[in-house]
Amino acid sequence: MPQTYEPITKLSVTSGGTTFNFTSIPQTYSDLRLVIAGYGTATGFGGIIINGSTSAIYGTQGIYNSSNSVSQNSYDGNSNIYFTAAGDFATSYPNLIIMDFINYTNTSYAKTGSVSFYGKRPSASGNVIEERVFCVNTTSAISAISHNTFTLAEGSEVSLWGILRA
Amino acid sequence: MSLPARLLGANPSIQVSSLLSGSLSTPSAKQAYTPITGYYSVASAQPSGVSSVTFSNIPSFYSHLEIKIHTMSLGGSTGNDDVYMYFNTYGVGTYATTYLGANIGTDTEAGNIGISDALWASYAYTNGNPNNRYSYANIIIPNYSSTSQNKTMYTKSGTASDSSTDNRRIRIAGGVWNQTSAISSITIFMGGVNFKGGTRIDLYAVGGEG
Repeated sequence: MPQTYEPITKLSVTSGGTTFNFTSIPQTYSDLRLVIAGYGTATGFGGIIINGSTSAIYGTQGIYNSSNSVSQNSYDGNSNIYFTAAGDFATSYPNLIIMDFINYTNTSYAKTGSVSFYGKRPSASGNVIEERVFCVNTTSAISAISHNTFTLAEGSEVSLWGILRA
Repeated sequence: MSLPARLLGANPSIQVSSLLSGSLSTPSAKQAYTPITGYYSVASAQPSGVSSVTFSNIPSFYSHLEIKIHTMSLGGSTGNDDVYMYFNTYGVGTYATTYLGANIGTDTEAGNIGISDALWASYAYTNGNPNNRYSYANIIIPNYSSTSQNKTMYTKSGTASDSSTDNRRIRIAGGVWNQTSAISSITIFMGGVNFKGGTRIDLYAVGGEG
């Protein structure tokens, strides 16, 4: 049985202020996984856009640790997939973001998936751990995944993986 | 961190034991050890108009299983239905699921699922939701082929939408099955409603020889 978890591309950031835009994503897999490990160059919202769109087609439902208590957030009509709340994409401590896009090549349904975020909160005491699910209201297959509203510092890595079902 | 060379030996297969009491026997021959070597697709189903899917004859040589679910139910309400799963034969053993989650408008929640004949596995957006969105779940079942340990699982599931008219939820759950039998089949089902077309349930395996 062939292995089905394959690297598609990886960005190793060597200069601060770098952004990423993975285009021409192969349509030969079933699911995608995006992993971001690194620092931001400025604190603020962190988000991902699909196929270059910043239209109000994104929504998330999340649960997270806020100052050592559990809170939830629910967003709709956003211009990107927010993977963390405002001010949480830290510059002085590493962030880890794992995003799964399921059934990303389908052309019949909106896209759905998951975000796991861990980061050191720069604007308050304590760390942040946040779990979300997301929706992207497009029936277009996902062919591009890009940064939005954040840039990466030197030493960061962004990798994209493809998963192929039987 | 790297392990001391004395622990590595000539073979990267590492055994580390902690002896608290009693005696520890040293194997006379090196034990067979299968390293984690990959991620494999085992099976995929696209149920439509039925209430359950069973993956059977699951090979035992992997390390753990992963199930990805993209689902909607044919339930007519505007909320979410629940998707459950059981292992091997229905009615054998006891299941328990505990969870942490959040619903739009009701903030966070935590508790136990009040059934013992199956695990809670996933949400399923209902057909009555106005915007035709699908739910997501990722389930991990570690050490599924063990014949000496009870089984455990983890799931993260939820429904999100770009529209404020849709119900939205997220749930992170862990569960146990109090049986030491190896898991050779998994049945994923809905209670009282059916899966809608477009649902996809994929079974993957990690480790082993493939």
